[in-house]
Amino acid sequence: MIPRPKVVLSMPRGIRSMSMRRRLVLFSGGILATGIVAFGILVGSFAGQASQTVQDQLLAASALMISGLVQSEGDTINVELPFTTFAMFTGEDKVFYSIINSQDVLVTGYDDLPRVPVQISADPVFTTVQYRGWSVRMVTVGRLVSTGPTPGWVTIKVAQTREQQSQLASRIALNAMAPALALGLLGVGLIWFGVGFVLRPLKRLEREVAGRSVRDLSPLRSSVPPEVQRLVSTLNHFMGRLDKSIDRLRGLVAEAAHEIRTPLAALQAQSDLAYDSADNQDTRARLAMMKRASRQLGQTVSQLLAEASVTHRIDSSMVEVVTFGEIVEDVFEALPDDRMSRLIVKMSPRASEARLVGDPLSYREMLRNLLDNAFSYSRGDVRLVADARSTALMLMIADRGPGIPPDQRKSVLERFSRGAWTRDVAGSGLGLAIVAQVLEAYGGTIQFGKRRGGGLIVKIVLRHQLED
Amino acid sequence: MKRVLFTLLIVSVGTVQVDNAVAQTSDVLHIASDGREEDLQPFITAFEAAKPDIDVIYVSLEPGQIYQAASDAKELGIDLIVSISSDLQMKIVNDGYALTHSSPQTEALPGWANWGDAVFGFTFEPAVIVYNPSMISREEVPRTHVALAQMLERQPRRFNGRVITYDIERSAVGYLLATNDQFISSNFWRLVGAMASVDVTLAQSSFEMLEAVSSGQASLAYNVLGSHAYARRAFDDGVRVVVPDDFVIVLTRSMVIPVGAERPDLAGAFIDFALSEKGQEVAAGAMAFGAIVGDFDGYTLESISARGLGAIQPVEIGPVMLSGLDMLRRQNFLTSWRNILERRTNGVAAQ
Repeated sequence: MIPRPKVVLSMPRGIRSMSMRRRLVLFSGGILATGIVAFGILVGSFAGQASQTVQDQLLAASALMISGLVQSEGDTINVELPFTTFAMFTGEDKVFYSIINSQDVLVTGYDDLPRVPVQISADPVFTTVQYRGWSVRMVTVGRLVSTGPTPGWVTIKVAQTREQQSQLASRIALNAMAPALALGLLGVGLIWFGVGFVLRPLKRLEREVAGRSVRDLSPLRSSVPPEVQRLVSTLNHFMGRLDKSIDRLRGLVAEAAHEIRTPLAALQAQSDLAYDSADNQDTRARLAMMKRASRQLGQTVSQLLAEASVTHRIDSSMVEVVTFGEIVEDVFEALPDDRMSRLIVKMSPRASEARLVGDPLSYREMLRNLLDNAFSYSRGDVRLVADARSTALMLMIADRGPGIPPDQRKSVLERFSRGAWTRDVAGSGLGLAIVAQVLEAYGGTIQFGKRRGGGLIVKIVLRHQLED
Repeated sequence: MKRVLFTLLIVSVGTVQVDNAVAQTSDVLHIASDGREEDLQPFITAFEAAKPDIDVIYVSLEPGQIYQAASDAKELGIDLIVSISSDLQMKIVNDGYALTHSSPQTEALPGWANWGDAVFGFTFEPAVIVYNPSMISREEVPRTHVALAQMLERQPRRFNGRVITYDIERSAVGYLLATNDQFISSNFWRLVGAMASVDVTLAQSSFEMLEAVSSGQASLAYNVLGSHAYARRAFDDGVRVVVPDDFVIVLTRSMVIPVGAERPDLAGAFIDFALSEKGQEVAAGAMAFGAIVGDFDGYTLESISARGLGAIQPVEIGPVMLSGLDMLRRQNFLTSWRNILERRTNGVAAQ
């Protein structure tokens, strides 16, 4: 199986920052909470004032009613409290009152109500005082009455505990705060879900990036909102530059390989000749090493060239239709006779006529490399079996070589990786990488198996076009 | 003052095995009342039957002493105060001498009978007119306050000395009823004048008035507590009851837990019992207190209200009562009352 390159999306620890959702929720939640607290303080103070005003008005009404009934009878003060004097105090709060004459002597009521300066005004004055262990609101009203020779001020006090007032205050505050709190929660909730909605284009972008192949550096096509457009165009620009520089690098490699090829061929020929004509045993051994090294070098260079051209051709999406038979024929033609004689081929007519879509050269390179490996790593016969089903072309190449241990079957497909058992065989480590690249481009699979009686079996499955 | 009050107290025990019961159990509830002990006895008996592990000691208070008893509750060992004088009970609460208590039973009470979860009315007692059928025929008996005044004004000789009502100077209930009469009816002072013209007899209790009517000493009694009147009517043919057709003032016997109560829990249990179905069944029973909540055969808020055509005016417990208790107003009211009674009496005597 071709290991599909995985796009790793986790970021390095240091760079990871808070999620946008949390950021937005924290930020807006903070602002909302501050607003609600400020609103709460305002509402609390307003509710206190409002409920206090209500209580004060009732107290004043009661005190003024009493004040209006204060009468002088000779030297004394008389007040006949009507039944309704305290009828306005309907709640469960306790009520106290007192009437004090101008000599500061109690006329009627509670004698121990907190003292206040004798009133010389009819305007109600409100105070909050402690009385019998309760916090009470007290109103004081003066009433000018002429008793005896000089008129004097009678002081009327009415007080009420503040339970109902504070209940009213908290009810007002609560009624005002409840919608504010609800709106705040709604706001945070909206942001929480809104962020998901807003970030949807980014998710789409992420899916597109994750879904494309490593070699695909074409511009991103997802439609994104204007805010992200800049990011995407920067990314596209960056990928374009990367694509160009990779192209340049490949060109350089291909060119370099090509340039090296000719002097290398000369070097190979010369070292062969020198080896053949050398008499000295010592010199012959050195020249043998040189021969092997130059052969290895030659192979690597040609493989590099092959890989570069395969990559280039796949990337430029050259699409042709070629039958598998033609590819096999081309590859066999280039095989040296000693290798051709080791090859046993079993190919069904359907396989021979299977039409492959893609770049013929790439297919050829794939097959060539597979056969090359089989010949290089084994000495005995190499079998090539091919058959085609409705959409799949199955190809099997079996040798009598050392095989590939199961734990290395993945890594051998990587570039420049060679098995530990391949020391004495000249190779570049590019062969199977090219195979893998072709298979990935055209949607094929590769499997390694053990051949009965020793050796390796490579199974390739390729898609082919149905005969029309 | 406390010592004086102590001498006023007559302590008796509501259980049968007096000493044993007190010695054996720690759950003893002290109930104080300024009414007659017999009035409360049915409730106490039923309560003790329902809660066998609680014993009740009844503490008898002189009329008008409940306020003082509340402020000295700790020294006097009082857990619960029961009185028909709901205005004084209200003042006990207003001045901070009461504890609050709340339960499903207290919540079921009508608003006028519960103030601040501290005063709880548990009976429904209308002020009624009682007459002796052998002295006033069923047809001529007055059914409204105005009709009563008119009858007395027209036949001063017939009724001279034959009408009896509360002495509002000596009876707190009488004063409470009179102030409410005055608030509701503009004919109140006319009625006082009419009663003065027949040289009204003044009594200190409903019991006294019923005795007078039953014995023929008086032919008519005004502002008798319906509870006592109906209870008496049940076995005494010498009394007949009229629920006025114009308006009916209704008092409620109320309970207060004083701040100094040693066992407010037991007091609360008694309150809950008195307001429970069993307690209210007692109220609806032979003693004719009138159940304030619930539906029973007998005397209930509904059945009593149905006996007259008039507006039912329950005396609401709350700060509104403070003006009635005002010292100066009380003085003025009593002075007016006294003046009318004396002037007319003198006038009649002069004729």
